[in-house]
Amino acid sequence: MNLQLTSYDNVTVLKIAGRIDSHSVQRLRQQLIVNASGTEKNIILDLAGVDFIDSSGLAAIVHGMKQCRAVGGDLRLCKTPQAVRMVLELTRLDKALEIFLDQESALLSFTTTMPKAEVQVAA
Amino acid sequence: MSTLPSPQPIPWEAMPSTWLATHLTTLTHEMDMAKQAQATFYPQQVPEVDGVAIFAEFRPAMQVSGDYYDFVPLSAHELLFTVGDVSNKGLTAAFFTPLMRKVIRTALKLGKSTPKSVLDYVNADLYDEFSRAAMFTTTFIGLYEANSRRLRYVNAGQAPVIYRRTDGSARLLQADGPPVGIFAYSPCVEQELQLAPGDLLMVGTDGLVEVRNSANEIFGYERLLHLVDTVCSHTPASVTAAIFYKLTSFAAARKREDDQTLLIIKGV
Repeated sequence: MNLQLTSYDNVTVLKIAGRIDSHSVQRLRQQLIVNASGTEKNIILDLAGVDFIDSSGLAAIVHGMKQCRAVGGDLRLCKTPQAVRMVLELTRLDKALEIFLDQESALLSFTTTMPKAEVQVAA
Repeated sequence: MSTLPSPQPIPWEAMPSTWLATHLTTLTHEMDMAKQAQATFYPQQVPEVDGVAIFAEFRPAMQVSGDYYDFVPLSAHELLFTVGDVSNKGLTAAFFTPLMRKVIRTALKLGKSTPKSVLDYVNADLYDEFSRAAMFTTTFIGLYEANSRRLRYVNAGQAPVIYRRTDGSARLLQADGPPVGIFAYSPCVEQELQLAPGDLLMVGTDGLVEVRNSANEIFGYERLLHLVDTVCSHTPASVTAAIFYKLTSFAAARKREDDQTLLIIKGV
């Protein structure tokens, strides 16, 4: 499994490629702990390169989501391949996690739902 | 008073081979004991209920398993059953399997009489434990009523669940809510289906569809649906044997990578 990390203004994007299973999940789990416990509380997982995910991978993602939400952020998914999408739908985890078609939409969702503090609303 | 420094772990490569051999023997013995202990939590026999034939089998990937299933006869005409899969596998997942069985049975003792009320109790009771462990469990809870041939169920993230009417074709029943331990309250909604003579319901765990062959292809849902259509006219025990035979043939020499559980209930 390969992990590629890109930091944006208030979001960290983790691009994942390969299999997320019990043999590889520890790296993802550790990375999510680092991100969710740091100043970045918003994470996007770009799953375009993932060809397989098992329950340990799903558990790591759900735990990351819980950690982010506990501090007012969120973990969202984008570019889920058909095989991953099917697993998420069959387990109904698609109802627990927000999923976007592409990275841009996922990034925009954070901008839309969490405006920066300095943005003032006109009276 | 000064604090003593923590002892530094010695790399196992540096340990004497005799120590490693002894340690490995102890660990193997402990795992064997754990396997035996876990086996006592699985049903020792399949219950007999009017109007249906039932069979279940599970095959662990390691010595202990994160899959579980259970039967709880509520009366001569009512049977509650469950199949579930704790995330991850092996020892970590195995800690939760007897817990699930026990909490489901406790819910029934406390008067929770529907699959939905049992699931709600289990989810509320174990949410914190699953969250702390960074885990969850899929679970299917069914209640079969012989008088009406009706099966009421909740499906919290369990897959594959396959239903085949005697005059139809096999189809996947999608879960109606996420697994136990995701939310503090389960949003699952109770569903129901009929089990007329010949109708078949198969509840399995993901280890069935994730079997890989030498070309790294997974067995997948399509093959399983087709297989169920092919063998559904047989008894649940024969259907189970056919499915495991096919999975074993597909995997060939490849080692089982995940626990596999299969429960079949068929109208007769």
